[in-house]
Amino acid sequence: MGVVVGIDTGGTFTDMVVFDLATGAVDSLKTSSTPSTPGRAIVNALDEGGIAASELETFTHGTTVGTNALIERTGCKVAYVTTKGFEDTPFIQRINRKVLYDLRWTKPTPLVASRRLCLGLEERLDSEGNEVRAVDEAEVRELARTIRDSGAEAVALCLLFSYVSTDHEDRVKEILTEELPGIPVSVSSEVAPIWREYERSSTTIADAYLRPLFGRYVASLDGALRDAGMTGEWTLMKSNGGAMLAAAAAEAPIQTVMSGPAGGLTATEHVARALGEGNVLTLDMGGTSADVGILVGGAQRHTTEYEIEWGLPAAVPLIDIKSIGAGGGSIAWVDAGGFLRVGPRSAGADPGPICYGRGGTKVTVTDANLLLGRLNPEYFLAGRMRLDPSVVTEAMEALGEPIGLAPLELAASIVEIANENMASAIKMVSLERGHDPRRFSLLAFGGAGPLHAAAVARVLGIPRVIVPQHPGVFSALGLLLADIRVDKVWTQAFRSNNVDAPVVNRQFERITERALVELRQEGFAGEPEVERAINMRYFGQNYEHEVPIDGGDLDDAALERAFRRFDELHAERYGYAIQREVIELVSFKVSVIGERPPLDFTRAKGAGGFARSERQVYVRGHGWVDALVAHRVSLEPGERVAGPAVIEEEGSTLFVEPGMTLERTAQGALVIETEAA
Amino acid sequence: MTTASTTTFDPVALTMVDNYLTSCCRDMGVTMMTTAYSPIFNESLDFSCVIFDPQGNMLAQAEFCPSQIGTIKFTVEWTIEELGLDAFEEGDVVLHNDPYRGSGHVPEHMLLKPVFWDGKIVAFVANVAHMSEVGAKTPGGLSGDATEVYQEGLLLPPVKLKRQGEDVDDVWKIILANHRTPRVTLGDFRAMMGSLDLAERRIHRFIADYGLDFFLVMSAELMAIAERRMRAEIEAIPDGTYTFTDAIEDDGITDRAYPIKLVLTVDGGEVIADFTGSAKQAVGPVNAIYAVTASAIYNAFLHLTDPTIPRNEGCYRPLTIIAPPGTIVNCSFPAPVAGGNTETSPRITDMVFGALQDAIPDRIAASCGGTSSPFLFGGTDPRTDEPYAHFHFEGVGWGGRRGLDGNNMVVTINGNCRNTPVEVFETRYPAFRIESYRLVQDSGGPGEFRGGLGGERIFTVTVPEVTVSALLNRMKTEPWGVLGGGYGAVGGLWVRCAGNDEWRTFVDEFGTMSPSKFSGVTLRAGDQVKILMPGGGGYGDPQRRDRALVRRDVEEGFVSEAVARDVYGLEG
Amino acid sequence: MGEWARGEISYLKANRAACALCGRPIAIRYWAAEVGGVEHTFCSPEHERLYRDYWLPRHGAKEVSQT
Repeated sequence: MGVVVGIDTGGTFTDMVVFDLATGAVDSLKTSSTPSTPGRAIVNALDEGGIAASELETFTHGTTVGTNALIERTGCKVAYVTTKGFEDTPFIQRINRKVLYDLRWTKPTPLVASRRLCLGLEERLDSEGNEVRAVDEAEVRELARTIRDSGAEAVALCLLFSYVSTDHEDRVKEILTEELPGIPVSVSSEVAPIWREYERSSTTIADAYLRPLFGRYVASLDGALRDAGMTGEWTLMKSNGGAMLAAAAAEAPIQTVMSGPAGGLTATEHVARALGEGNVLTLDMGGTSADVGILVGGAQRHTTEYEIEWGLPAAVPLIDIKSIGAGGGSIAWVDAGGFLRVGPRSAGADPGPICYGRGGTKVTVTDANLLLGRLNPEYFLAGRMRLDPSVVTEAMEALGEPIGLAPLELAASIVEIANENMASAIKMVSLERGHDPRRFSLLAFGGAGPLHAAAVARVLGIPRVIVPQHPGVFSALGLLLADIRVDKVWTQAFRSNNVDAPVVNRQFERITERALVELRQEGFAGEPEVERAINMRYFGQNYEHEVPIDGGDLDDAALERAFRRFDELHAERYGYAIQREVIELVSFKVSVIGERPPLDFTRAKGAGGFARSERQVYVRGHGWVDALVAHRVSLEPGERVAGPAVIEEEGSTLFVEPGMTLERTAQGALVIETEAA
Repeated sequence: MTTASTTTFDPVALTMVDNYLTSCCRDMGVTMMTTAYSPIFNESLDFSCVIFDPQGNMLAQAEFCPSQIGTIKFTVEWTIEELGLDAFEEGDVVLHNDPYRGSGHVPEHMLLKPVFWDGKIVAFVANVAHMSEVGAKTPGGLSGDATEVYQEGLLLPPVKLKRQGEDVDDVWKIILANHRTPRVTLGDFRAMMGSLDLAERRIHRFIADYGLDFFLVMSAELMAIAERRMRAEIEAIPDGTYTFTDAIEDDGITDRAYPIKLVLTVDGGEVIADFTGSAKQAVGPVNAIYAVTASAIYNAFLHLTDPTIPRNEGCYRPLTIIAPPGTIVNCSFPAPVAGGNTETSPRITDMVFGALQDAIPDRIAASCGGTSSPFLFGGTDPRTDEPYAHFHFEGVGWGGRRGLDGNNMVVTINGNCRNTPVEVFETRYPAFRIESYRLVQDSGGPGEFRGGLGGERIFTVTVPEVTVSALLNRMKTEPWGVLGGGYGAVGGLWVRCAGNDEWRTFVDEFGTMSPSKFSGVTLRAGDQVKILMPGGGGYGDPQRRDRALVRRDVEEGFVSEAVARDVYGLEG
Repeated sequence: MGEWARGEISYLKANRAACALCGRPIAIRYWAAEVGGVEHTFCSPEHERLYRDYWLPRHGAKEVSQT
């Protein structure tokens, strides 16, 4: 038996988790990312961990290659093909602006290579999918020649109303593929079959933009792994929390935009199940950002509202995660009005916080934590990096002087603002959707999550903080657990007083079949789970909600139950339902899920022999207080520790505030009761 | 900037309170968007959500429509004064849209809800939204040839739509009996009320967590900071008197222009914007009420100052607006006012930039296209027999700025709405198929920093008949450039009746008084309409434009070779 | 020296009083002050001040008060 490996490549660090199938032992490792050749960090990690590629039973990868290429604009030259008359849609966008009152604001530049490469076809469907003008084959071939001559490296195809009928896009794709060998064609009805042509085209263009680059990345990593002796298939994490075969991901790269954070939520689902926790908020705080997510009743929530930057949507299914610029490296600054702000700019890994001693000059959250005694200068990354507090104070004085804050108070304020920012993000995924955070537990992970979690929980009235095992590499852990998941959507509008149930049942069957075929192709052999949902809204509304429905054929009674469930969801989210209103059924969704066998991660490979000590920690309102400092492995199951306390481990540090109590559970998780005082 | 160093406020707490209230306004907007019925709400987002203190001072706003945000302050103040604080009970929702009692124009409906704590009003939450059908003389309101406010829709003085949490059925009945699309009205009002309830819950939660005193002290402090920062920003504008004149080109009734004259006096940290000498009020619906004119000035100065200043009442205090009654910038009852809010408002805002172009050339921009291009239509859906009505509007090119070209196709400066996607439009409104929606070459005013491009949209009527109205502007007078920059292209409205080859004006085809402002014209299957959206003015001499940028503009088709050669002087 | 005064809202009369300086329609409360022997209606004492300091030197006295 070999090993199961998950590797998560982030902006700063590459995290690896190794599960030994024979012994059940879990090992983990953090190594530097290699942004210029992202695949190298993976081979490095395997080397450093002493893993031979031939031992890999399964390998799942979470990557920011796609996200970074979008943010840094390093994708390919895309030609955009659409219905004639609408070639400027990527430039016109939605005509609103991001900020009011800023004459310097500039509209986002679309990802298409040039306005001259936005090409129209004389075809047209109406809003019900009826043909107004047919596809002219000769015109498509002529247009293909233009694309070939332009040197475009990928094509994005988005025709009006293709979410109602794919006929025209199917035909045009067929001809383009024939005429343009070697040039990938991203098709809107496959990438994002949603209404609103701008959002659909933006998503499709983003997918095309990533195709060559992502394809090369997958191929080169695949080559490196094969050279090293790997024989099996490997998978990539999708933004929706499911894994897909690497080869398939290469053809749908936009599906990976939230690949990394999705791993964290997947691991959360696993841990929450093991601990019997249904309602969980997550705080994943790393070097540059904090990702916040939610489990309700043990289940992840999904959305399609992702933006590459403001105004450039990539509307693909993803786990509902709110990402904000609040990481250890986030920079503190004072705005023109004397308001202290933290982030979103980050000092990154290089130069990093001042205390890294690599030439950083801007005060960061990590510097503040160090000054407050919450980080151990001798045990950052398990002692592989030493922090230098001596250089921090001077920069703190300079920053705090104009607003009248001495270094310690400034450091405490920086931490508080970062906490407030994270609390706001948590409110967005909870309160905004009608969930009271006081009825949730907060699961904290990432290098810095456990350091801030107790305070964030206190601000929000969250009663419990859970720090799972392996918090520093938790997202990589999730990669080992990701089920294979395929989502399919069929769009056709019905009104609740006039649903064609036989058609709906037939279509549900059709998309379920297609999803199952793909699941098999992605290497899943077991018995899959099938989830179905209908997106609904009150007739007149333009935004819909996903209503889960029962298995089996839909009949009047089943539909009626679904409509009442929609009323309940609407009331839960907005405080009211409109009784007896006509409900519009907008789209029908199937998710087929191939579950991975469960893994037991509690047997951490760890070293013993850590002595406990005490250290002074600064807490606003308390001043300097003596805090217990202990390594996590030194805590006995069931042992309780009163705050203030600092619990250290490789890749992460946990801070327990005064008045709170921490307990190490039998399963190995650490739980803080925030209201113990 | 060192204004902060002399103060003693807790910056952490202030940041938090400002963020909390602002995000509360944003979340009200999300609720509105996701639950409303009309595309003008749920796609276009033609609404604004705002929080006030019990005295009617604005505490917070978010990225909504500037003209509404500035105007709602007057609407709320009037409502509180007319009803008196004692008249508000917990659970009440007050409705109001009367322009002669402080509303912006008739379609703009304000809902106001008091937030109580321990039996006392501690805040008001409000939203104002442009309803797509208000029972005017023609479907969709904004009738371009209205001559009295009575023709612009059902007028509602401050009345309770809910009393202590219960619907006031009599008021509902009056409204639903007067609007052509009552189902949509009902759904939209429910969405508005849902967003007020959300804001009320948020404020309750805040006070429960932090205490009432903290809330009141912090919100007062935020307004004081905003005022201080605003004054400091205005102090950076050289003292002096600055003038600018522009005009509204016609009013739908008579073919004559209505000049607007602005004299700005900047004195230390204060500004007086004086409109004395502007034209008498128009017969047709291009008049601004006082609140709209004041709002347009607020909008201009918020655009000229630091965007990070907390956006509340304090920002307005340094600004005084003088607008003589009976003029186009402060019309008297019963003059029609629909276009004042959509057309005259952006004209006034741009005029401030024009006046200050020499004083603060780094901060201003050339004129934007300056029209919402309102195109209204309505009828009965032949598929379902249901009535429909829509207020369709468009973006414009924005003016060039120092160092930056103007944006192509963004909604005019008094709004921040989105367009309605073609796919949503055709699904909801069976009357038209959209044939094209594109940018127009050479429509951006030439300049060292070019004006943004305007656009063009062509519709084909696909039902037996549909009633259309219009209230566009900038069809005769071009958006101006600054500091040597050229004019942006004018907009336009054209019709091509089935069987005809050429585009004609509505004057030529239907005998309307104005080519851009009329109401109640019937179009039939196969007729086509073309809306042209004006471009933005240019900034600086086009001969000084970077040659590489001129060549890029030609390559991308933003500028034609002829204009590159003749206007920009591009050789070769 | 002026003083605060209150008018009333009438639904039988649509024309409203306006501030003698800025032209803003007055709902109920207003600042009544005599300037140059004429009784004027203002939004606030501040606008009375501006009427004296800004308006009169530029535009001269308004003939009739608007009530």
